[in-house]
Parts: sequence; C-alpha cells; structure tokens
Amino acid sequence: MGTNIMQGSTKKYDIPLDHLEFSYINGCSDVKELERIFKVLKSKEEGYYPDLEKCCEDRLETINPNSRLLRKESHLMSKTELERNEKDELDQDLKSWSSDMKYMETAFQPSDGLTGNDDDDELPPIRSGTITLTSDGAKSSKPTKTNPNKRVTPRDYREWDKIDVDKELEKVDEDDTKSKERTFVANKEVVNLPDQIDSKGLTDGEKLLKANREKDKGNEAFRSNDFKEAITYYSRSISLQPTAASYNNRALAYLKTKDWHGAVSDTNIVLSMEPQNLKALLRRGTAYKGLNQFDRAQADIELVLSKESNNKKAQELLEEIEAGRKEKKKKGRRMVIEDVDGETEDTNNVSEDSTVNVNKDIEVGGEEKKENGTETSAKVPVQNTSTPRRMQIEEVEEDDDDNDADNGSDNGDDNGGNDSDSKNDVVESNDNVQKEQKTNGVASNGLVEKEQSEVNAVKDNNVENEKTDGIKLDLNPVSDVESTEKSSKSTESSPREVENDSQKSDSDIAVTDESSDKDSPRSDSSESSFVKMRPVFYMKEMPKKAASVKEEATVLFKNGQYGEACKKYDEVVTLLEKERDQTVNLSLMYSNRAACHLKTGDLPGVVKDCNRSLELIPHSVKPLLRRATAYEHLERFRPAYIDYRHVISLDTRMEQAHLGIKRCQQILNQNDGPGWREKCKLTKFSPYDIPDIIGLDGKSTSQQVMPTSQQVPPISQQAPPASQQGPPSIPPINQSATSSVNNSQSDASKSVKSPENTVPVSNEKKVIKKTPQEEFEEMKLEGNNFVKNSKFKEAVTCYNKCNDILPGQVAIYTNRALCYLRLNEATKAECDCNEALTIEKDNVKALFRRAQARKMLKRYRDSLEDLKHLLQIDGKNTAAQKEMDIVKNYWREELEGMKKNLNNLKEKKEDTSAQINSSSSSNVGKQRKRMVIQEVDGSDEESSKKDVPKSKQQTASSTKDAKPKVEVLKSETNKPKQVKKTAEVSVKDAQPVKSQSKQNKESRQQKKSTLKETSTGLPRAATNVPKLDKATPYEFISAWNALKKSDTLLPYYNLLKQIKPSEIKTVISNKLDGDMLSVITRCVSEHYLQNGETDTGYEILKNLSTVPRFGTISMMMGRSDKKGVQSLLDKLESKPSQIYSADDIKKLRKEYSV
Amino acid sequence: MDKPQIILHVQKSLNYTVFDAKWIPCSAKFVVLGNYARGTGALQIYEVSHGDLNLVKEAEKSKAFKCGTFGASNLQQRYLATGDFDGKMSIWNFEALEAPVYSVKGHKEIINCIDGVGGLGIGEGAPEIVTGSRDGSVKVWDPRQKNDPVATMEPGEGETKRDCWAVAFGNAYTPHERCVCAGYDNGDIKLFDLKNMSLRWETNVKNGVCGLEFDRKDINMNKLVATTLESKFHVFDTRTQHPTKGFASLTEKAHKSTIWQVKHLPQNRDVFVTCGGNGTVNLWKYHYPMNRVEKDNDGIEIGIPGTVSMVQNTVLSTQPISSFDWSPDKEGLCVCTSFDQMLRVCVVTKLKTV
Repeated sequence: MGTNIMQGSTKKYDIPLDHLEFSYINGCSDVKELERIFKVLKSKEEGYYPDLEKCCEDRLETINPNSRLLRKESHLMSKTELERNEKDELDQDLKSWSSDMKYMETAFQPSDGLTGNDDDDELPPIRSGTITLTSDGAKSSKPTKTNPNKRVTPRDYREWDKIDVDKELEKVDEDDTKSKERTFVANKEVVNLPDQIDSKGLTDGEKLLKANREKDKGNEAFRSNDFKEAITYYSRSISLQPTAASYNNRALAYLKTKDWHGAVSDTNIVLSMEPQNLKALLRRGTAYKGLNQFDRAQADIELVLSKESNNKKAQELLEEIEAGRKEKKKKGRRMVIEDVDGETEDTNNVSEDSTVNVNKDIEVGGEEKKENGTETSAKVPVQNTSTPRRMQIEEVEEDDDDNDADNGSDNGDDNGGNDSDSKNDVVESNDNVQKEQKTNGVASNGLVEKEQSEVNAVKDNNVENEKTDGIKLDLNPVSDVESTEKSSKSTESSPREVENDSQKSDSDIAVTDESSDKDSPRSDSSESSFVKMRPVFYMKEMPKKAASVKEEATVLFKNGQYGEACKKYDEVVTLLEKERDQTVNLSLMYSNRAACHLKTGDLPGVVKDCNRSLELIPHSVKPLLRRATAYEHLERFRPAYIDYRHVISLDTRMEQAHLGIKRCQQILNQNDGPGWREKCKLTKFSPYDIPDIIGLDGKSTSQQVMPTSQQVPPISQQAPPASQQGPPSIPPINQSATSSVNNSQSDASKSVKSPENTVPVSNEKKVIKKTPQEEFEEMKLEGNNFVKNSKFKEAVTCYNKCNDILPGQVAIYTNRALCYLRLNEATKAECDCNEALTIEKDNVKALFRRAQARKMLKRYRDSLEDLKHLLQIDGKNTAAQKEMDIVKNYWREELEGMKKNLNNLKEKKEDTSAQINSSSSSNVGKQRKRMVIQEVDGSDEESSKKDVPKSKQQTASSTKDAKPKVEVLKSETNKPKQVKKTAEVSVKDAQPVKSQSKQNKESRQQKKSTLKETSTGLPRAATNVPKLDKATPYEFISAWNALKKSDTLLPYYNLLKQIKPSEIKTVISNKLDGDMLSVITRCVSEHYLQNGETDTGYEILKNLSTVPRFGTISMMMGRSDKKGVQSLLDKLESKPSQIYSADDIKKLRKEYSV
Repeated sequence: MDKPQIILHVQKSLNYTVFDAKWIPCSAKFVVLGNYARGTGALQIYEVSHGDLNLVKEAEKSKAFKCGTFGASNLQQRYLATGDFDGKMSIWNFEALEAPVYSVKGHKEIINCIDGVGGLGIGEGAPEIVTGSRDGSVKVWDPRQKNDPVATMEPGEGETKRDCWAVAFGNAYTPHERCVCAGYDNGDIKLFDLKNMSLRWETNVKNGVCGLEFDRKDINMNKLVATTLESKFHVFDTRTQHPTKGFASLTEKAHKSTIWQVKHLPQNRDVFVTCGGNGTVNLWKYHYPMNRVEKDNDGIEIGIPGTVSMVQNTVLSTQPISSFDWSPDKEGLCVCTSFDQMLRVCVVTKLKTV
C-alpha cells in the first residue's frame, strides 16, 4: 500500500525516488524538475523531510526566485510584531497624516461658499447614445451626433433609384477602417494633451493635489519609457505648482529624449531653487556632455564628486567626458558657445586644450550693437561709416591650402570703406592669426569656416551684400546709440565679420555645408542679387594667462564670491582687450562680469558690461537678459521690456524673459496707460542680423538662438535694395509676390494694383518709425478692414506684409486663407491653411477653411477629413456640420457621376457630352487641381494655367486686337475676373458654336456685367458652377442649390446654359419656387438678352411657363420681380425674331400675369 | 524584510454584511456600504484617528447598498454615488443624508458595480457615473441630467442578458476621450468608446469577470486588469490596439479561488492588489517589457505584454474579501472589508521600494 502511494506520487510528477536527495537537488538546475520535486516533498506523501524540503526550496529560489511555488501566504501582521522604532514611525506617520487631513478638509471648502459648480459651462455637453449588443456585434446610435450622411436632406424619390447598394456598403466599410486607423493612432500617443493646466477656479489644495497627481503620472510614464508623455505630465504639474522635483524629473526626461537644452534649463531652475541638488548637477553635467560642452560638464560633475566622492555615475560620466574630449580633439570638432547663464553657470566654455579658431568680427557687428544699446546718448552717425566693403583679398592662390585659406578667409569688412585701409587691416589680422598660431603651437587645421569664395566671380555680388547689410543696419531703429567712445572701442577691437558666401559651394567643411544648406532656400528663391548673410563670429582660444584667470573667476563665482570674481574678470578683460581676435571671449567676459555685477547689485555696472558685450556680439541672449534684469531693478521698465522682448524674439523658450515681460507690461501699463506700447520702441532685427557664433567645436549657435528662423519665408529676408527709409518688410518684393498671387485673376488684376500701390505707399510713410509688432498689428487691422469691406486682394496684400513683418502668425495665415477662398484661389487658401495648421494643429478656422478650399478643389474626401477633424475638436460647430453635409453631397454626386461615366465609357458612346463629362470627371477622380479657363477678351484660345505669370499673359493678350479694350476694362473693374470652368465646354450641344464676333461680344458683355456686380457691391467671386452630367432633375436641382450662396447671377446663367431650354420643364419638375423663378427671369434679362441670345431667352421663359406649379408660383411673384419680367418681355417684344411673334409675347405676358 | 508588508492598523467588527468601503477623498474618513440582515441598506462613515476608528455618521436606507464611488464628485462636495439592490443609483450628500441629491431607478435589477470619473480632479471632461447591473445593461449617468442615462450599453431585443459584474472608466485624458469597460458573468469583456459611442474592443476570458480596473482613469489608457472566477487575472496592455488581435495580455494565477477585486495603487499605477475569495490579498508589481510595441508580419503594430511579480501575499480573513480601497491621500493606507463582517484598515509599508 505504502509503496503504491509512493509510486503514485513519484509517477505523477515523474520523479524517480532517488532524486529526492540533497546532492541531486543541489546539483539540479532544471526549474521544472525542481518544482516537481518540491511538490512531491510538499505533498508529504514520500514522508516528511523538513530539511530536504527547505533545501529544495532554497535551491529553487536561487534558480528561479519567481517560481509560483515559492509564493507563500503570510499572515496579516499586527503592529505589535513590528520593531519598536518601526511601529512608532508608522503611528507617528498616520497621526500626522490624519491631522493633516483635517486641515485639508477645510482647505477644500471654497471660500466664497460656492459649491464649485460654476465651471459647468466649460464641461463638455451631456452625451447621449446607446450601444446595442447583439450576437454579431454592437450597434450604436447617437441621437445627437447622428452621422449626417443620411436623412439630413429629404431626398427625391427618384434618387433612390440611384443608390447603389454596393457602393453604400463600401462606404460603410471605408468608414469602419478609417475609424480603426484613427483609434489606432490615437492610442499610441497622447493626442492633444495640453502642456498647461488651467488652474482657474481651483483652490490651493486642489492645485497641489492635482500637481502631485500629474507628477505621479509623469513618473509612471517615465518608468514605462514613455518620455514624451512624461515630459507632458511634468510640464502640466509645473504649470500648476512649480517644484524643484518636477523640474528635476523633467530634466531627466529631457535627457532621455536627448533634449539637452531642455535639460539644462530645467536643471538650472532646480539649482536656483536648491543649489545643493546633486542630482540636478549630475543631470546638467550629462546634458552639457550631450551638448559637447565638456568643460561645463566636467565642472558640474566635479562638483558632484567633491560632495559625494564615490558617486559611481559621476565617475563614469567623467570618464566619458574625457573620452569625448579626446575624440573631439582628434576630430577637431567645434563647440557651441553659450554664454554663462545668469545665476549658477560656470564659465569654462573655453578650455586651454581646445583648438584655435580664427576670430573674425566686424565693424558692422559693433554698429549693430549700438542700436541695441539703449544707454548712452551720444549719437553716432550711422550712414556711410557702416556701408562696409567686403575686401577681396588675394587669397585665391591659397585656396587649396587649408591653413592659408583660413587666414585668407578674412573677407573682412572694414568700416572705413577704404580699400587700402581694410587691406592693411586684414593683413594685420592675418599676421596676428599666424602669430597666435605659432605661439600657441596649435594647428589650426580645419577649424575655421573657410571662405572659399570664388572671389572674383562674386565680387560685385558681395559688394551689394555689403550694401544691403549696411542698409539693413541703418534701417534698424537707431533709437539709442552708444557713445562715440564705445564705437571707437569697437573699432579698436576691430571685429571682423566673415560673410558667408552663398556662391561658395564646394567647400567641404561641415560648417560651410551647413550654412550653405541653410542659405540654399534663400538663394534659390531670391533671384535678385541681394543675398544676406548672418554675421559669423568665431570663437578662439583664450590666451593661457587669461584663461587661467578666468578659471579662477569662475570658481569664485560659483563659490558666491562675486566681488572677487568680478575683479578677476576685470583682469581677464584687460588681458583680452589687448588681444585682437577675442571678440567672442571678450563679449563673454563682459557678460560674465555683468553677472557678477548683478549679484553684487552694481546695476549700472551690469548695464555697462552688457552693453559692451552686446557691442561685440549683438543679439546674444544672456547679456540681453542680464541687462533687462538690471534695468528692471533700476526701475527702468521700458528698456527692460524692450530687452526682454528682444530676448524672446531670439529664444522663445526663455522663461525668465517671459516672466520679465509680464512684470514690465504690468508696470508699464500702470505708468503709461494703455498706450504704453507706443513708447516702447522694440529692437528690430532680421534673423540674419543675429550673429552665428562658431564655437571651438565648430557648432554654430544658430539653431538654438533662432528657432524660428527656419520658418521665415524667403521673401521677408530680402531687404529692399536701396530704400533707406523703410523697414525691410515693405513693398517691392511684396508686390511682386502679391501680383504673382493675383495673377490667376487674369488680366483684370491689373486694376487691383492701383489700390495696392496707393495703400502701401501711404502706409510706408507711417510705418517707418514703428516697431514690427505695431506695424504688424496695424497691417493686420488694415487687412481685416479690407476683408470687412470685401476687398480681398488688398487684404491679401496686407496680410502678406504682416507675414513679412512677423512671420509665423497663425491668424495671418487663416485670414489670408479666407481671402483666397473669397478670391476663388483654393490652392493658395489650402497652402495657407496648411501653414496655419502646422503651427497650430487644431486651429478650427484653418481646418474649416481648408475644408472649404478642398471642396472648391473638388477634393471632397480631404475636405471631409478636415471637417471630421474639426468636429472632433469642436463638436458643436454647426457651420462645419452644414459644410460637411454639403461636401458629402458633392462627394456622393461625384462618386455616382464617376460610376456613370465609367459605364458610359464602356458603352463607348459617341456622345460628345459624355466624352466631356468623362474627361472632366476623370480629372476629378485623380483629384487634380481645378482647371480654370480664363476668358481673355476677343480670344478663342484658352489659357488654362492658373499661375501664368502676369507678364506672359499680357504679352499673350497684347497680340490680340482687342487689347485696348481689355486695358480699359481692367482699369475700370475692381473685381476679380470671373473664373469659369472647363465644364462650360460641355454646353456645346446646347449652344451652337458661335462666330468669333459673337463671342467677343459675349465676353465683353460679361465683363460689363461683372462691372455691374461690383458696383452693386457684390464682392464675391463667382461660385463654381457645378457640371451637369445629364440634364436630370436631381442633378439640376442639386447644382442649383449649390449655387444658393452665390450672390451673382452669372453662375446661374452658366448653369442654365448647360441645359436646353426645352429641358427646363423636365429638370425643374415640381421644384419650382419663387426664388428660382425670379432668378431665372433675371438671368434671362441680365445675361441672355445682353448677350444677344434673345431667342434662347424667350424659349426659356416659354418653357418655364410650362413647368408644373408655375401658375401658382407666378401668382405669388413679388412686385419688383413682376416689374422685371414686364421690362424683360418689353425688351423681347422690341427685338425681332423668327422664333416668336408679338402674339407669343402676349401669351407669355398672360402666363406671367403681367 | 525589505519588501512591502501589509500591517493591520485597526479593525472593527460590524453587524451587517459589508459590500463596499471607500475613502472619502482628502480626509481621514471612509464610508462603508452594506446590507443589514433585515434587508435594509447600511451607510456608515468612519474616521481614522489616534489609532482607532470613530463612527462619524450613519444612515439606514430602505434598500441594501451594493457599491459606491466618489469618482464623479468634485473635491469640494465629495458626494457619494451608490448603487443598490433595487437597481437604483443615488448620489448622497453626507451633510444631508435624509434624501439623496440625485436618484434614479436606472436598472431593473441589482446594480453590481459602479464607477465614476471626471470628479476629484481625476479625468478630464464631464463628471460621469457608470453602473452595471444584473439586467445586462451598462448605463452611464451624468449628474447634470436627471432621470435618464446619457449612454446605455445593453443587449439587443431577444439577446441573452448577461449579468454585468464589473465596470470601469478609463482613457479620460482629454475632455472628449472616454472609455467604459464592462465585464460579464460569461467572461466577456467589452470596451466601449464613449466618444464615438462604439464598441472598441471585446474579448472573452472564459471565466466570469469579477473585477476590472484601468491602472489610471485619466491617462491615455495604459493597462487594464481583469480578475475572474477560477483564480485567474489578466493584464491587458491597452496602449497598442492591434486591428484584429486587440490588446496584448498576460494571465496570472493567484488566490486559488475567485479573485474578487483589483485595485491599483493611486500613487503608482504599476502596483496593484488583488483580493481573493480565500481571504487573501496579493500585492503585485507590473514590469514593462523592453519594448512595448513590435510590428507583426504585416507591419502593423502590436503590443507586447509585460510581466507581473508578486510582492506580497497576505491572509486577511477566512472569508472572501468583498472590497478593498487605497487611500488616495496616503500612500499605502487601505481599507478592506470581508464577508466575515469585518472592517480592516491596513498599512502597506515600503511601497516605494517596489
């Protein structure tokens, strides 16, 4: 019996008895087997062997600690089982918590006694819907948000005949897959999660709670490696409650996503809150390492190590830094130079072992700074001195030699504009460089951006560059200018600018490539010879002595001995001032000294130093920021505000500056009243004024300094060639742009030019002394006014200008899109909307307008997508819903039409109309751009290109006899030309081909009519006339309804022309109503009669009278309509015809009861 | 002993069957819901103070309470929404317990489960309550709308009505996105997308689903845990939904009996407890895989499940654990009720080390 049981259990687990033994178990590494042995032992069927069981358990635990067999139930511990201190701790903890909670409870009582329901309006609407679960899936119904695809418009019975079940099913399927895709995507990433939380209406307690919760979410997301999401949640937490921990965590998340700058700025904030935060230091060190700023990284990490010498991570990092440095040395990479950060940063950015770069600075740079300087009063004449000449030095022969090319690349500009002078200068500097290289004993191979300029070839160009440069500088508002003393100083330091030459293409150095890459879009777009370049500064190694002193200063600064640090910096500065090519360093040192002054409270000193620093390198963020702070402390809020603004325009991420702006705005508003803005003359500069600083590692700061520069459309970068008075954003280029924009409006657009010319000119004068912001606002306002007055072209011009002044404004894009829509330029409208949407993903307006544009382009499907997106964002948008219905109808028609045409094709009907239809609908099928036929006077040729440059068109039209007439009309009409569609061709069978003269007449008539429309103040461009595939009632009525929005009769006329008068009865069937009747009669009187088609007009009227319900409708005709008909019939009567006689007219009179 | 321990702080014997206990947010109090022997409903509020439990308030209502939630109430009001044996959903103001501030006879039979979202600063968007009932329907209520549910998920005419045992809100990370997940007695789990009013995903886990919870309601849905009869629970990674295969999941056995409940630690979504029919409470930690997403053969992204490890396994009672609730304010503090009419306040230590 016993053996049986034993066999049973060992059999069950398939374990031979002799495996139940210490040595076997200890040697066994098969988890499964061990588990089985353990089970056998635990079952105690083989006997009770507590030691063996324990041994087996231990073994199992070492091999597989996660084995389920090891899971043991423990009993619920009571506090008495805990160790004393642990228990006390726990009790204490709970006690303090419960008292905390008592306080918390009261904290949530809203102070004003409201129940907190007042935010109801911000909540989404009450939803409503049902999902019915059936065996074959779920059906849902949403009473409020029903799919408007169906049962929106009551359909004609005949329409049911057309419904293709297959297609409908397909559509449903399509929708299904689409929704799948959507959810799939939405599931992957946090969609539309804002970075900020509106803390309005929250009590402090709630805020804290929520901030903590968001931080927790961030932590969790971080743990699951979802760094982006983590950053979002940390940002949300910070927006509610900025804590060091959140910043620190976000910094880590930034590190993970390799956003070094984000990490640096976050850790800086942490360190400003908790200077001793080792984690933050470590993280900043890592970030600096990522930025290849090894010295700063090292400083941070050494600081960590000095406090916590056995910090493993820090040690590792240090090693990595060393390795990175070596590599850098090998490769001779250059480094981004950043200035010392305000509070806590160190200044080790230039190390001794870094390689030498040639420093080039320019006078122009100095000049620029003067404009930024707001301090001193003495004015420096800004005119001729700053028309720099680029020197073409004879380095051509040295081109193949790297070193020499470096030196030779000093295509420096000299202030004097004196050739020989500048030559000397350059030669001198060349010597200097060489000397330095010798003394430092460092090879300068490949360190410098080379100006392999094909000198001779581009000479002229360059000169012009210079000119524009200088002009540009002049254009900057020279409100406050540095003292002459300073200017002379800057001359001494003789910074020399190196101009990037867009023509140098073949230089193989990375930086050059980079910069030429950057330049390429510009040089492509600007065929003009004005190519603007950013000034480039090269960082150079400091002389040893200066560097060591600077090192000391940094240490002192970090230790908080600002006064001492300041003295050291003085030393450095004096040392550097003696050197020639130390502009960057000198600027840095000034900036650093300013930081010291800021700390010691020597505010005027700060301002002075910052001015100097900026003088050397204009538009650098840190000195600006420091100066702003100093100004603010000095209670000179206006300059402070200007500086803050300047900083923001350079780097939008500077939180400090944002805060500063806010503060200053408040105070300025208090002091100066609402008009305070006018008193602040913001510094204006173009992105290309911002110097490119090439650091020792060869990276330029450009990317980080000007995040927006990429978006700047090419046009705005072109300075007006020689206009000394206007800001760079004004006309000539714009006009060319707008005129090309308007080209599609055909020849009539010429007339538009006149307002275009007058308005901006007057504007120009006004604008001169304005800041870009104001200028922008003004332009925008003007544009908006034009829109209100339906002058869309003018509005477009204004918006273009706005865009030049301050690019990247969503509102401008959406507004301009609206204008384009009105002008019937769907493609452009779409472009603008795209632009707007890239800036702001969920801009409702942009979405709506793009949908409209796409509708016009017949890309119904895309249009629907947009509308859906829109409705997702704003479900209540009724306009969008309506639009969606319309578009859906169109789409449906299109699909059906397509199918029909396919059938037609199959049948190979020789019917011409079918052919035309199919051709047009195949267009549609491919979602091509709409073809537009422009009517050129007296021409039977159709220029179908939309964007034919104007000049061409003119030349084309100038060959025509009718040209003078056209010109007259052009000058008269203010109205965009009516655009017609190819569909008109399909009218052929209804309208016999006319003679040349008749056509001429017709088009002239048409122009007259457009004129008339304008004069009656109807601003709209003609709505597209839907094509009629067949003269069926459904097609006709839907086409008719689609025209409802149109204010003019022309589209109706075009539509009517597509059907034979005899068909009127059929197509209108029982749908006749008063409006239709009046529109048709007006059409006849205004178009048919004027075009001389009296016969057709008569036939239409006659056939109209046979339409069902005509009697009733005509009886209800309004008085004015009756009058119209009366006069119409009079006219008909007066015109002789073979078709009708006076009797017929009489009959008609009777029918129309007039 | 550096792993988390579950330590009893204080316990109390009650004279009624306890079904649910919930911490009142931002307080040291919790509310207990249950059923007196005479069939009436019990609602009691206790406060933890000085190592003891003080009864602060109580009320007896005509129908037994099955479940409650604060999820749809704001922090200032802290109204409790309850579901009772009669199919009635009510919202109570503790300051005036005489009559509910909102009451609707939403279901024909007992409301088994309730969940709320949009309140307490958890979940963006409108406050909503979802109830699941034996009558087979799941209904969503908006306190702003009286008498009628704002959304209903029910079997069609003539279909078998499955007893709905568990409901949970999730995905409420924007004002518009929101999902409801429902578990049924036949092992069905259905995920409804309230934004689109559609059935987003469904599966069957073979055994009746007793408990469901998203790891967090107010984030882009991340994980869903479903506990079942027959001692199994499933963790679904809901980040990546494959068009045909749905969500990736892992299955784990525990408790050797029905797993009644799952509750995620509010301070850390990757830690959760499951409560067993054998009176045990298990503490789990979820570990994410190296990559959460991979591409299948067709290049479509598919999720990869992680793993769970048991952190603690503690016997609390001889009877099933009927409810468990983590304090939202104090990490590790929890209240737990069991069918032996006991109420326990426990502390889980060292949760940070998990």
